[in-house]
Amino acid sequence: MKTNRDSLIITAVQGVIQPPSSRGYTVTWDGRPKLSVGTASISYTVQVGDLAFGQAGADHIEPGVTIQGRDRSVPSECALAILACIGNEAKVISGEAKGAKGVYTGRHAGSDDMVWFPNEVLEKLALLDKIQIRACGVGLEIEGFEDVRVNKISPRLLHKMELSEKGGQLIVPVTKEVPGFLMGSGIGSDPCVETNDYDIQTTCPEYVAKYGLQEIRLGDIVAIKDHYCAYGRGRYEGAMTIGVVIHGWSDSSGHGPGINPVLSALPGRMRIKKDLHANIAFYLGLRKKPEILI
Amino acid sequence: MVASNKKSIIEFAVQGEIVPAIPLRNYWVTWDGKPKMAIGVGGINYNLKIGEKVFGWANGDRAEPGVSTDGTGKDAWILGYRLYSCIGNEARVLSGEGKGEKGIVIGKHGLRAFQQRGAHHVQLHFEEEVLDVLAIGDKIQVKACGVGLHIMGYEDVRLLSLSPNLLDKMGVYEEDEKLVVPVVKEIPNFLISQGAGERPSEQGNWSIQTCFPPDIKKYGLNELRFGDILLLKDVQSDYGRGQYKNGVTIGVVCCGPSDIAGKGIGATNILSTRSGRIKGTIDSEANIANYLGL
Repeated sequence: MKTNRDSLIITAVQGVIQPPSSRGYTVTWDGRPKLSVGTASISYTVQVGDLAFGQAGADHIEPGVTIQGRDRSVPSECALAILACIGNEAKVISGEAKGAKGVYTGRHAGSDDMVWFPNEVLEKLALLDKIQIRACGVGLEIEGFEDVRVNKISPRLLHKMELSEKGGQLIVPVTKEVPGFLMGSGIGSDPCVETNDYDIQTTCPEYVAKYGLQEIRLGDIVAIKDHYCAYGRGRYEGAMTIGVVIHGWSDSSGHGPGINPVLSALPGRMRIKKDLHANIAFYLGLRKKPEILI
Repeated sequence: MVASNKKSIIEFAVQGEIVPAIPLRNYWVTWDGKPKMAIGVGGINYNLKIGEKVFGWANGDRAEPGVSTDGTGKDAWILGYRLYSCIGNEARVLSGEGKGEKGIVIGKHGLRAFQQRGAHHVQLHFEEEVLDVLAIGDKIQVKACGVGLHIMGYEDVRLLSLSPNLLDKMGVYEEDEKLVVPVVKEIPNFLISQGAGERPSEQGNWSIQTCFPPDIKKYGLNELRFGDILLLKDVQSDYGRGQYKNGVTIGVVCCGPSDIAGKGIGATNILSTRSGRIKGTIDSEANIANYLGL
């Protein structure tokens, strides 16, 4: 597979580690109060590759370290939000862990951008430490598939995703295919796909069981059927969107694991193949691929 | 007509003003990557009336019928105006050339009502001669009445943004221990999008996607009119909005179609259940213009 990676601009974008906040009790889909945890901050217990479901009190759990841009007053308008791509190199530029390297793993609009660091680095990080990312990926195209919208993915990760081609179609390994109607919060919002994720809804028990939503892991590559995310996020029968799972489950109606669309095409240009190891943690070497998946 | 607790509902004043039209400074981008000068949100739309078809308006995108208003003053007061106003409530003009004139709440269109950046409008109908003398910035007071309303024997059916006035006139009746609601159309769940994940359910609306053009004629969306009562299938709006197998939401068409991915015809939710205790009966005259004599 060939891409235009050599013509991409690499530019510095910056954020700070964002302290967690709370609005007190929220209400779940079935009318229960809940004090949610899991967004922002430094997570010492959840990393990409972990299950997106099951942590106590969790809601929209974000793996690793969450950072937010400070160059504009609204985080989603900051350079970090728009330009950083999954797989880009991150570096700590202040505090005790200065100089340590990590990897950008996705963006959760509403809380913000996430970075993986090794465990020993997490122990030295402090809230409000500055993190700088070598942002690279805006403008990325696949040769022969220029009509397939590529978004928020670094050339490094794209080349490691084991894509192949057959019969004029791009074949993408995914852990799961999700029906488009299950997409919730984030659908129809700002057309800029670079800054907004959208959620696979996990607030109907029957759908959770039917589509195996509890199996989803943070970092999984999943397919969204009948959705076209070239200029926004919405329905298009026959289209296909490939996304990276970037945050975890929710009990709030209409919410659930969020995905950043990374590939999207109109009908007939992409096909999927099932691979339970299709996860950025394995592709980027953040976690060792198990020989047998448990 | 069904029995309700309307006699115990508190009726109180909330205040707002007529807001300007809010086009973007730049072009919106449509689902297929075209620029669009989208108009119709906010302001006084002189020729978009309740009962008119939603399609066919040049450059219209989520265009709102009638007069668009929002709360004023402190954030909490604005939120009060947005959450407490109900369809069918009386509105009174407090300032300007139209001082003293009365109108009626016909819809609620918006997102993220509790955030200042969220755009949210309470839409009002006024008679033609009153429209002529209204101005952007005129102060409006609404007699908010409807929060806490429930139907006797159906306390698990949530009533949202619904005045006792409209409930009594909508032709709802009981049959086989279910509430039967006259509706113009039933909308399948895979068309229903933005609005998912928004809470509380007393603000804003669901959207019916119009970004896959073949859907528009196939599902009769081109026949819809502002003010039509719809049944949204397999979605629930009890405590926030989400996809839910066998859930039912009844909505009032509050804004027109969109060319932006994931956005579409708006429907302000007025009844919701997860319990399966609402069903629809098709009635082409099920429109609030007929029920409220507009």
